[in-house]
Amino acid sequence: MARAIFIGTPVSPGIAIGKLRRAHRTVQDEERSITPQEVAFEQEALRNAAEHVRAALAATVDNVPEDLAEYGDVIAAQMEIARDPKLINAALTRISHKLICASWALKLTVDELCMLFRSMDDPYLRDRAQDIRAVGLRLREYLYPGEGQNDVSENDGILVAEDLSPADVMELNLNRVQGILTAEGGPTSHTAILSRGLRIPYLADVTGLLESAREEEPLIVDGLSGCVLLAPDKTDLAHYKKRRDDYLAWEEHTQHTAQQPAETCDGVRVAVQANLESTAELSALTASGADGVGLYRTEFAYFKEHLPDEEELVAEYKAVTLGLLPRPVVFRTLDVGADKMLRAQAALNEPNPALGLRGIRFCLRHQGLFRTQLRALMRIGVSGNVAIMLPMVTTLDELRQTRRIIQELHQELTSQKLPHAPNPPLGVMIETPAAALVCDALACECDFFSIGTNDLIHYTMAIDRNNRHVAYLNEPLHPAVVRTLKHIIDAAHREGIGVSVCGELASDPFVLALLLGMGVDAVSASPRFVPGMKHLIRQLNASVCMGLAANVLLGCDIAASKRMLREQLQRSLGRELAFHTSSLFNTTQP
Amino acid sequence: MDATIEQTPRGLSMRINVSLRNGLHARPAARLAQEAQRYAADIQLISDTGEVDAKSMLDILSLAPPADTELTLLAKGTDAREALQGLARFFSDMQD
Repeated sequence: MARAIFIGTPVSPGIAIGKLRRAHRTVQDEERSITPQEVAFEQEALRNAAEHVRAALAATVDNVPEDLAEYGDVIAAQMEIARDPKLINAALTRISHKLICASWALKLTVDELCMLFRSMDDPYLRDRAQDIRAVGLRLREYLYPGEGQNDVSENDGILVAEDLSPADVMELNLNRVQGILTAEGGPTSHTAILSRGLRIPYLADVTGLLESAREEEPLIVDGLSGCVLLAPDKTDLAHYKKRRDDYLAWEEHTQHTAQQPAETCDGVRVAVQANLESTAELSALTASGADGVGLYRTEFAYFKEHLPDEEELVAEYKAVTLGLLPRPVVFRTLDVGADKMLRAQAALNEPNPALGLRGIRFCLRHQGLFRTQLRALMRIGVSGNVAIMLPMVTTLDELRQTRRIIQELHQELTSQKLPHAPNPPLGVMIETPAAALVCDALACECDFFSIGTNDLIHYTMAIDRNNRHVAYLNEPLHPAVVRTLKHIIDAAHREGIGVSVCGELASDPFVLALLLGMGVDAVSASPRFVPGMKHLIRQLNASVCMGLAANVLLGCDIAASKRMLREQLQRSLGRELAFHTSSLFNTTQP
Repeated sequence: MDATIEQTPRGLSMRINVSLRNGLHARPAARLAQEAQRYAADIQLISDTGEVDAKSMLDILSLAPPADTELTLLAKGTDAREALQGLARFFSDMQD
């Protein structure tokens, strides 16, 4: 295909230059009957393939960073599947009984096993079907070496897929993938976390590429500005090679200065914190120089096979808080709904879960679950620097109900003689227009605000996050959004409480400058972005940002606001501006 | 854990109490299968819900025994006794 540009959402920054490689490549299945004389040969081929896959997986284990132990487990499970009698022996038997070739026998066996696991009640076991499929695909590639062009020495692959799951971890490591592009997925998926951990540039939401590009076609992934360049010419290549080198040098510099505080040229200090999905990311966090955790997503523990009990939660929360002392950790209470669901919730079968029983609404309905979590947090509160944050609040009553529950739990824990913090800092996540409009009342009764920019924009602009037709309205600089932000920050400061912004937008240089100008106290983003954000803040001038914010707030012209922001940041940062990840300037217009 | 090995018509049998916080899920199942594969004997794992090959992780997973349960191990072959003793040790190590 001719030179073309595709747009995506930057998930893991950096620049990658390479050739397109499709994940889940369906090798043309051979479905051939064999003679009894060929049986031994086909069986041997399958045994060899299994050996190869196991060896390749064993090599992959060493490449997985230590802090992503979860993927180590996935690989261990897949290694075991690659020699499982249920899979291998069953396929070997099929070859001799049905007189069919190895690939066909394997396909039938894998399909049968996947079907069996997919029909299970337990969601954990259902997910194992993905592992079986991944191993099956890999085995088929080794059965016919050469056909899949899957040379292990190849190291300029850019992996392109509809979506990737943890089961595809092999695809990421085996062939030393340079970049990742998916049509679905988002910044908080497993693949996103892994790609940031492995420092592989990754763009999600890339539309149109899968349909129009061919295997092996050269392409450039710009994980900074969020675009993909297909079939680049000589000038593009030279340009991007230089950019990649410059970027790597810049990144190294920000890493070196990561432990210094984020203070603007005119002496305004802002806390730069990290969003955390699980304890697995802890070591990345310390290296990033983050001033604590601005958003700890507690859902992870709930998506395992069984609901966690209080002791499990205490152990998890302890691991997070104690390692980071004296830095604070803000725990967001269970926020399921919209894209993530528990079984109890899936049973409700809501037509529109984003507007349904989610966040604090779900917790107040299922108080058993909520109380267990709050008890664990209060118990950790004695030794760690813990704050509790409530998601999806719309009314003052939700905050008051939670306070009452905490009081009850305080009495309960006291009578049980369990040490605990009687009244840990309690904050409200402002992510609905309702909460934003009553934030003056909320500010009187809580200890801090945190703004969830993603949901706030979606609910303010009345758009469904999964609906591409209205994606163009996902506009952080829309006056409705900017004014809401300002209103929230001012209301908090009037009551003397702090405000942080914890959406992925906080890492966008333009939005970050704007937020500084509005007087935000803390920003929180993925640990991967923290050193860059701190570096950026040190180059900015708070009073200039204030002027900038005032101008953006006065105007109603989004394009003019963007121009103004771009000009100002260009002046302050120069060419370094291009090293920051932003999707502000490539919103697809209808 | 004191496990007694009994002679049955189907081979040597041993009852064990398993109490794993998360049940027999991927990691313990994989380790159990690995351990079982060290022996030549045919080893079956029997629960209330079914009977599976202890050398197959997928089989063990599909048995999906609850977190606290009693299982029976059945081994047949030349090293059946060693296999059962080894697996008994394996289960008691895993509960620590």
